[in-house]
Parts: sequence; C-alpha cells; structure tokens
Amino acid sequence: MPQPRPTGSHDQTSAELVARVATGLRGSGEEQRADAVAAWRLLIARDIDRVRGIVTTFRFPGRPHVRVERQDQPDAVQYAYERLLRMLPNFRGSTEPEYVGALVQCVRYACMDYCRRQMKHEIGLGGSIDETLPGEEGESVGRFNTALGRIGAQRHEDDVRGRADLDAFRVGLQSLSNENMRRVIALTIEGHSSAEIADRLDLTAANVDQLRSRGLREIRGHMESHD
Amino acid sequence: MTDSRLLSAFIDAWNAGERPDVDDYLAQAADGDREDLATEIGMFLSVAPTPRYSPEALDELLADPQVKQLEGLPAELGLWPAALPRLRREARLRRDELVSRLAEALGTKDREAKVARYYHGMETGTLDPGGVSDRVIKALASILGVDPSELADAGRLRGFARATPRTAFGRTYGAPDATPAMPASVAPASENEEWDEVDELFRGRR
Repeated sequence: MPQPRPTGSHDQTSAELVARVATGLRGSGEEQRADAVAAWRLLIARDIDRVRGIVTTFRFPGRPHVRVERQDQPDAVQYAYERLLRMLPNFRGSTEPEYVGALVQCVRYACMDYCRRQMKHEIGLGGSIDETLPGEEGESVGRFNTALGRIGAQRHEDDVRGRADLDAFRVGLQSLSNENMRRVIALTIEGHSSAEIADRLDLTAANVDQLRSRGLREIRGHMESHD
Repeated sequence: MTDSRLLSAFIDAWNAGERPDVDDYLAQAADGDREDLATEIGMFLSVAPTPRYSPEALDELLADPQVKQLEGLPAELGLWPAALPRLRREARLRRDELVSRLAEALGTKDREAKVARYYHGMETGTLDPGGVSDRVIKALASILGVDPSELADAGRLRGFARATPRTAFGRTYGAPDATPAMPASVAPASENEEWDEVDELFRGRR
C-alpha cells in the first residue's frame, strides 16, 4: 500500500504542518500517525530548495576545503532527503523554527557523512591519500587524516542539535551591539523584504544590505566561538 | 553586484517564494567574495522560514524529480531502491562488480548468479527487505562504505511501517507466514532449484 503522498494541503502553512506533525506523533492511533507522516512529507518536500542550498554551501567544520563537490551534489541531496524521511520518529519539535533547526542539522550531518564516505572511497581507489591541502593555520595537512578522524560514523541527534543551534542563533542575535543590525536580522528571518525593512526602519536599501551581511557574519562568529 | 547586495537579493527572492538557485548567486560573486557569500547564504537558510509558496510553486516543488523519486516508494520497499544505486554510484562500482564482491564476502562465490538476482531485487524493490539477513547487510555496508545500521534503517524506512497487516511482495505483513511468496524477478530460476544458503541469506530473515 503506498504511503500518503505529498499532494493537496496547499492552503496550509509550514507552521500548521509542523503542528499537524506534532499532534500526530503525540497520538497513539494509526490515523493520527498516518497524518503526521503525510504532513512531514509535505513539509520536507516544500523544503527541497533549502536542502539543496545547504548542501551547496556546506563546508566541513574546521576544514572548509572539504565540501560536497558540484557533481556530487545531486547524490548528497538525495541522501539528505532519505535521512529526512527517516528522522520523523525522532522529531520532538512543535514549532516551525524547531523543525527548520532539526532539518538543517540533519542535512549538515548528511553532508558530513557523505564527505566521509567520499573520502573513504577515494582512499580505497588509491592515489589521493597523500594529497595535502592548507590547514587552518597555513600548515600543510593530509586531506583525509584529520577530517576522517573528526567525522564519526555514530548516529547524530539532529533534533537535539538543531534546537541548540537555534538557541545559539537567538543568543547571537541578541548579542549584536548595533540596534539597527539586530532589527534588520530579526525582520529578515521573519520573512520581510529589504524594501519593507528599509521603509520600516527608515534606512536606505544599501544600509539594509550591509547590515544583513554583517549581522549574519557576526552571529556566525558568535556561534562558532561558543561551539 | 557586491557581496552584500547579492546576499540581500537572494534573501528577498527566497522570502518572496521565488525559489532562487544558490549557484546562480554564487556565480555572480567576485572570486574573492564567493566563500563569504556561500557562508552567509548558508547561515540565512539555516534559520529562514519556509516561504509561503504560490500554488504553482508548490506544484513545482512536489513535482521535483528528487522528491518524486523518494516519495513514490511504498514504505514496504524501504528506501533501498533509491539508496542502493546512489551508494553504488558513490562507491564507483558497477552492479556486477558489487555482486562479485558481495558473493565473495558471503562465501557464496560459486552461486554468484543467484546473489545477482537477489541483489537486483534489492535495488528494484522486488525483494522483501524484512527477509534480508544481517550478514548480507553487513557485507553490503562494508563494500559500500556505509554504517550497517544506516543501511538496515533505509531498508525498513524506520518509523513508517504500520502495525496493521498489509500486503506487499505477495505476502501479508504482520501475519504469521512461514513460507513467504516471492516475485518472479527474484525467485529461484527453476522450480526444482532447492532452497540453499543464498536463499536463507536473502529471504530467511535475521
């Protein structure tokens, strides 16, 4: 019997779908559970662009030269999507930001595991193990050694880590010393356009662009320093 | 366009539900700015709300080939029909190469053709994942460079299986069934072919 397909429900927002997932997972009935599955599949199908974007911009933590190569991105996206399909039973969130945090962590860990497998295969195929690349402090390091050591094959708690990152982002946002920067970022992640933000805060569009870019960079720096 | 302008243009397009392509924006960045822009877009995507897409955009998203490929798989098949060919591509192995190594690892090199039929069933979704033994999973995982539990989970599509009996592969799940039926594509070549170790490995459960 086919699983519920992600069709229909165009009128529901992502927040409403997350609420459906949470309700369905809390329930004990077969029907509630099936509804959670259907809502989850709709949610992640709607976010295929986010999955692709995260795979494209993924840089291995501490080893930014380790990434998913362009020709491998479709396979990495597929792998991430497979993991998203499987993560539903572990999802404990009830809000859209919690869902986004869990999704992002799941995709990032999928990228890490994908890179790990690629490196193992390359080593297995021979010829690449002695390749050296510049390290974080300019030293020459083996491409595989450190990264392989860091990437465990252990299972990851995407959901838990997703919430932690969400919290870290909020703290980073609050830590911004520039009031306009803080308000620009807050309005940006609420979905407002730069024109709307400029209008609301009485800034120029160029100011908004600068504050967005600098704000995201500062928050990232804050998150990394507290990681 | 400057890095900050490109970032803002991407964010505005995302929030408007226009489905911007990250690569298009990275391609417009100066070489020296590209990494920073990738980082900032990645950062934004990690917290951005999912846009309120138009009905047309939602139709496009649901018709995305990668979404359809995985959504089209019945839960009974697990994800093997999608995951195994992908893992084989990643490992740069042709199917015959993988089968040869699998037969070797299972100690059934003399019955490689039968192993090939069963593996074909795993990739095409015509073999019940529930019957495949841990030995096969472990051997396959080792060849493909993946954690055995991840491969097993993909076969089960953990968490999506239903408690009530249902029918697939010509048998009923959840009901006592000592002699599972088998689709023609992976059935023994002849009725006279005896149940052997290979059958046990691929259909005898754990």
